[in-house]
Amino acid sequence: MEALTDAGLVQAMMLGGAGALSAEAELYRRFAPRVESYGRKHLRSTLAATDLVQDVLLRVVDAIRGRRLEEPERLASFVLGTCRNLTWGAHRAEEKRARLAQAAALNADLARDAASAPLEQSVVVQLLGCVSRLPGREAAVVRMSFWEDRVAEEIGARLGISAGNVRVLRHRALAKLVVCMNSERTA
Amino acid sequence: MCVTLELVAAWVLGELPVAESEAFEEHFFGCDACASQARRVERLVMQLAAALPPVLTPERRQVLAAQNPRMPAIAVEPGQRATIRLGGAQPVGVWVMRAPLDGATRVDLEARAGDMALFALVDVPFDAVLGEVVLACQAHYSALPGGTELRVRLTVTGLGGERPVGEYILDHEFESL
Repeated sequence: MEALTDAGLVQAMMLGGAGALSAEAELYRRFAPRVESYGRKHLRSTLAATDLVQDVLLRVVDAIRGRRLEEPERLASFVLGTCRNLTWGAHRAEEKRARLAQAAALNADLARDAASAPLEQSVVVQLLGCVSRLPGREAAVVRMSFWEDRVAEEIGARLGISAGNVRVLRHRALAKLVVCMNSERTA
Repeated sequence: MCVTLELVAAWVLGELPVAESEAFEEHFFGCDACASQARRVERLVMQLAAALPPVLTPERRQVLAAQNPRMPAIAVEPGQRATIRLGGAQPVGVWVMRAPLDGATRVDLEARAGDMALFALVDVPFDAVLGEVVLACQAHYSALPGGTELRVRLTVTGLGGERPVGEYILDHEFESL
């Protein structure tokens, strides 16, 4: 099933039988993580994102079974559209909030989620090692953003750069940290 | 669409303009690699949020103390050596490095273990009124290279320019985890 295109998955589900069950399982495997990421980003809560996965995929499966998905090759767009429909109210509120709040709000929500799962020793050592290998300003932005709960404007004022540059450095630093954490794990 | 890890990170943090975010999402739902990268960035952000910062703000120290009511807090003066014991029932502790910080506008910190430079942090949080910089440590650090003795130097910037405060010798005894 992994080799099937999105359109192939839809066809298999519409045919019914055992193949349809396997296709549904593959649909879940393929799209659940994307819907969850979308939900976490727009709803700012892991719990709400998990609920969104169930709601969206139930509707998608229902639409396929009911043959309401007219363009099977556009399954991914249909899943995204369903996500948008179901999060519309929260999405508007989130946009407004995003203009008002910054990374600190994200940190607070993620920290609540993370608090229930203390880091393993190997992860702590890896993380500190990777942060310490970042160039100075990127390391400072990461530290001030995630460990000192400072917003981009404040970090920018301290480092003598604009808030926009702080965000660019933050994205660059996170990208480097992802690569570093991944390379150390696989080394 | 050319998707970089930086773009994925910006999307995960909610820091893309609305139009760019929506364009990215159109691509994201049909892209296996992007989905995997987004999960990695999310995991990293959660790890950063869950990690104990090296230097604590007063707010973070309060939260940590509330979570660990018996957390040791060892005060140490410049030029002094002190020891903290961690592990078992005491997984975390704090060093309270005392320093004359009246009028300070910035404090930089440099830490070495043996011959190894562990980290150099610019503009760390400090409490000018109490004259304190609070360094967190945890039993997990027993796996860091360089031994158990940490030598920390503070440099204070204020009205009179930049001045070194001195060196703090922080020794750690770790019970096995």
